[in-house]
Amino acid sequence: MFKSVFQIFVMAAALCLPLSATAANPVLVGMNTPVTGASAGEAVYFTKAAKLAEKHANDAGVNIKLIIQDNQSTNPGALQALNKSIEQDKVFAVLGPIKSTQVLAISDRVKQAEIPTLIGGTNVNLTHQGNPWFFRCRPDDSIVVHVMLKYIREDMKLNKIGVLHDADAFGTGGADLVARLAPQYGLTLVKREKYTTKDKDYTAQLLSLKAAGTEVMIHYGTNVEDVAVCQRQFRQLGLPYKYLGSPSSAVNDTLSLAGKAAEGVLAVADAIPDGTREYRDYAQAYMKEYGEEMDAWAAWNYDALMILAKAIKEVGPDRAKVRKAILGLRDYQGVLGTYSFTDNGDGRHSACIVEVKNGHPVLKKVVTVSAE
Amino acid sequence: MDMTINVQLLFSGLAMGSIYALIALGIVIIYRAADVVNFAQGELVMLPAFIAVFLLDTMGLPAVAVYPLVIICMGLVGFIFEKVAYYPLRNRSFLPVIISTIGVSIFLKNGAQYVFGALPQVMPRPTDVEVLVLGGVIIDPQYIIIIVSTSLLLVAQHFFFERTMLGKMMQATAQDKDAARLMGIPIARMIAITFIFSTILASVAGLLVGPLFYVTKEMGGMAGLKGFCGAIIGGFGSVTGAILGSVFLGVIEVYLAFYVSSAYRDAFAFIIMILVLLFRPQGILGERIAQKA
Repeated sequence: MFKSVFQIFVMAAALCLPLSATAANPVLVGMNTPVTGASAGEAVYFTKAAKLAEKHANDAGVNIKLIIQDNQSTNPGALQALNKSIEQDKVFAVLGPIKSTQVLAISDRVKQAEIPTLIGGTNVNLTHQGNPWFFRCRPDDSIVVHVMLKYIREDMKLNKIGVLHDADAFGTGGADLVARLAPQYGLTLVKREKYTTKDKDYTAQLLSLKAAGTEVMIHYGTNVEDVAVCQRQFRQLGLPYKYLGSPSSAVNDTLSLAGKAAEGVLAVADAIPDGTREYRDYAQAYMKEYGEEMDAWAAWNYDALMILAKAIKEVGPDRAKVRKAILGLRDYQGVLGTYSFTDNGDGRHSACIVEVKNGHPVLKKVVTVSAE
Repeated sequence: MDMTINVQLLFSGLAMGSIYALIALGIVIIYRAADVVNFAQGELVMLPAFIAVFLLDTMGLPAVAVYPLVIICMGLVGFIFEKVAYYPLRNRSFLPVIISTIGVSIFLKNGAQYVFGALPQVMPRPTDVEVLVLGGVIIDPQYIIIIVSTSLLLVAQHFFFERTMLGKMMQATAQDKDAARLMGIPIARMIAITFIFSTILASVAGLLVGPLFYVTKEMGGMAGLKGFCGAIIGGFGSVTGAILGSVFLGVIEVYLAFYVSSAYRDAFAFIIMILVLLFRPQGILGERIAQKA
């Protein structure tokens, strides 16, 4: 009698095992991030954010385990790292890269392996290429550009815009969008200037924008050192126009490098600084865990992983069901704002304008726009 | 066109050109003495900047002490560099040595990330003055510091090579090793000193651009290539040529970026280099194309 009860108990336990992630069997999540290479600085913050999410998810009873794979800041590296995650680590889902080109590089493999992949790349096309396994956890570039242009028109009440952008895919894509969408807001693009990543002297570009009669410059920059150098030279040259930057213009890294030079710079930001309870809770938990201030730019990693954990908690570790659960998410309050996923996998639909004051981004206005 | 803009561009060009010149010189004097091209020259610009940030920020030493200390450290690095990357290969053709310098460059880049971390760092500026305004022209004071320091260093170097015994011995080594050896000049030691000297030039460049560029492991890469370009434009192997070529490159680059296209700024540098190689392979001031004695 006792023996058969015990047997039934063991059998029941064995049956439950694959469904519930137990301590012995956590759900593995691969993280595809630049530990080395040109953007190695970012990964420091990204992994901190993701590790915090891993901890919080585990506290909430979803046993996930993060396995970091270095994408070396390159496209082949991103693909290699993904293959490692799939073949060697046998992960359930992937927390993907933030660079759009790297997201593109892994797209086919993700589609083929049918692995839920949460991405931070903001190129509009990424979620419009029929890959059902991408879930974007940041506002795409068209939203960011709409927000900037709307703000210039309605709040700054200026007309003549100049664009300075990194000649890489991100900067060029952003500048193209500005050029295309500006007429919709009745704005004139008077001059477009670019630079190659890691350029150290922006005098020529900044002065050329001045000569063209620019009233506000939109800076679409990728690399934080570049943005910081540019902000310093912008201030030194005492230029007559306003500075409105892409999100990299007001992240901690840029601000700590640029120091005083960043004062008064306007930028688009993914998150509303101190705007929500979630933001403050996260900032507090981050401070407690690492003894330093959180970086809003990296926080999408936290939100993405928490969204994944929520889906796994609801439907169990089944990829198709998790996909449905994420797409079905409505008004999820993350650190950076509200997430509601569209069918093509876009989670965010708003951004805000911040101004740098005393070395910190301070909210000017939250702007919500409908995606194209 | 507005005159003040042109003057501003000129200063930014002269400052960048000065940095390229220091790097180009380092490459050229090693080439003259040892017949090899050192592709780690850019990383020898990056390393002193990291050391300076460490000493200034983490250790809290005053700048007066830090600059000489960094230069002494880098002299030592130059010595080790010669012993590790050049000396064991000195009797081989130039190719293995070039590969070995590329190896050192990769090692230094990744080593710097390992030791100093991946985040870009701020190197404090020697002066608190934010901008200089001279008759409507706005200039970064660091540009002036770069231009003046480089000019002083070049004058000092000229005296060193022309007026001191050691300088003359180094020159003799560069011109004709066999004859120098017959004169009783210790060739191996002279080459080691040349490497140290070249590393010190690079570290001065690093200390000068550190406050301007922010300190990252990648900071020396493009500057190193531009220095190489400058040396070729001026006439590879010629000291005066390396200086003139680099300053010319720094200035022309800024003007082309302003008046033609900023996107192709780096491309212009290499296009000019290719044009020089096509139409005047010996460079502006180079010796005739014949192999140097």
